[in-house]
Amino acid sequence: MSRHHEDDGVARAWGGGVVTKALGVVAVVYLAGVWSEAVKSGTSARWLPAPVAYFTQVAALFPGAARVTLDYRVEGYRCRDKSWSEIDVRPYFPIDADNKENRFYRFFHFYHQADDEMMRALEAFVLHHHNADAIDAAAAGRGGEQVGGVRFVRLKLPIGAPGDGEPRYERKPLDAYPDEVRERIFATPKAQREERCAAIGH
Amino acid sequence: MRGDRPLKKGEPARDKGIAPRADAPLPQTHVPTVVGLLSRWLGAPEPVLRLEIIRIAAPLATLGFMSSRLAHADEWLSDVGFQVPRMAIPDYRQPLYLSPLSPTAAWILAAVMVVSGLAVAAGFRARGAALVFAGTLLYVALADRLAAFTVSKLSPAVMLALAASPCGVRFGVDAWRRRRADPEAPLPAHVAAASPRFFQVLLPVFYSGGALAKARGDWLKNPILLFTHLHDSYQTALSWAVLHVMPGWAFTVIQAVVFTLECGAPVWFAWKRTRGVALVTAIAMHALIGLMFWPVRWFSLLMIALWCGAYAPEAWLERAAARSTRM
Repeated sequence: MSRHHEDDGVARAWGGGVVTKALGVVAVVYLAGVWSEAVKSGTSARWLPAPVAYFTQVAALFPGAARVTLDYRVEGYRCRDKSWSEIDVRPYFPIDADNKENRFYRFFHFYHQADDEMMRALEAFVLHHHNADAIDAAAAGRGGEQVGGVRFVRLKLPIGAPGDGEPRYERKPLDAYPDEVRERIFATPKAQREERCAAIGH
Repeated sequence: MRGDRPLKKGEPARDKGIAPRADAPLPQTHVPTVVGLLSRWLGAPEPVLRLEIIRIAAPLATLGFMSSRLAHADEWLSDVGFQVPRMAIPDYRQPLYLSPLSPTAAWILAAVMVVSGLAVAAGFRARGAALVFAGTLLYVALADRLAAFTVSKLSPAVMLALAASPCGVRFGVDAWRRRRADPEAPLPAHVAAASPRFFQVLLPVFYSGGALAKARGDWLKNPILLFTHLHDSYQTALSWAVLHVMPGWAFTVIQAVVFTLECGAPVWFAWKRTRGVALVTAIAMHALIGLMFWPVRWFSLLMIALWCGAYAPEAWLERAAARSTRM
């Protein structure tokens, strides 16, 4: 890296020449990428390598209106009474655990029902952590119940109109929401739930 | 008042010089070329504070954004936390697959990020530190798409631009050490404009592009679009109060102001007469975004830092630099 040049009292990073021109070209390419990507999503990826184009996807912020408020939850399959009940996965996704920037929420922002491999990976992760915690809790005499499978649920909460006087946002238990706002995204198949329940000893 | 009479041909004038020849040739001038104008625009002196404001504030805002991730570096970047598997087909959601780090490597990377970011802000080996900081930011943005947002993707470019600039020549540890080594050496008050120009162009490009994305989206169709974004876990006490107090038409007015500011950003910030109002509006907009969408506050701070560095009035910056010399 060159030293600062201050011949005329004006500090310069580079003495001019090839480096300055090359940096100028890089800057123009970057700015063109940012603008074209904002104007139409996917444009910069057509003429820039994907990892570079990725860094130009910065300017298209909040282009659409929210139709509903989204939230994502997990239910665990209780082998003993063959029922589903909510399990809290926030301890397994501790980064920004209480807002929609957490990685669990973001997973569903990017991946959908059709992304079966991804759903399976998340299922395995949640099951492993929940059941390991349950074993530890049982060993410590604090209860703890392993589950045979998981179900991912999307909550679609309606947005009112200005002046409706809605209550302040709070995270409520899944049971507090009516069925019509719950959408099941993924569930461990029945055969696998039964197999896992048998292994657990139920 | 003495009346002027026209001079006769060849008559010497006592206080007016010699009468010009009627067929005098025009002075030789160079026709300005685009390249010439551009190089003059990029080489002109700009207040050193433009870069110094960005050098100090941008890495701090970026580290603030990263802080919630850095506190759980192993969950974030290693197999201790959930990691999206490698996708078989190239996909926009995974522009480059990077295998998870070991927990130790994740913590080392986090430490390097913090130290290099603080070094940039402190002006300690600022340009080299900016390069290292940019490297860590590039890595984490690519390694974990789930925790990557605008700050994750914009900050590497900001840091690379700082690394390519003469930042740190006026304030910070390096400037202080240079001053101690040679107290008579003048402190630079100006930098060549190329680096500040990058930020001055980046912001209108960013906002005008964003406005076109908004126009393609719902901003021209839904008059209460801002209202619809105030209901989820981003909500603060202020945004909830605004939700209750403000009538529907007020959301439309704010929406129009934001859209006008962003859409016309290249004009508002290029034209000297509108620049001040546009700058105040942009800062107010980001201050409100930060206060009403609390998790987004670091993005707001980063953008405010860029706006202030790029477009704060030159006279203010000159005065502040002069005051710092006297201190």
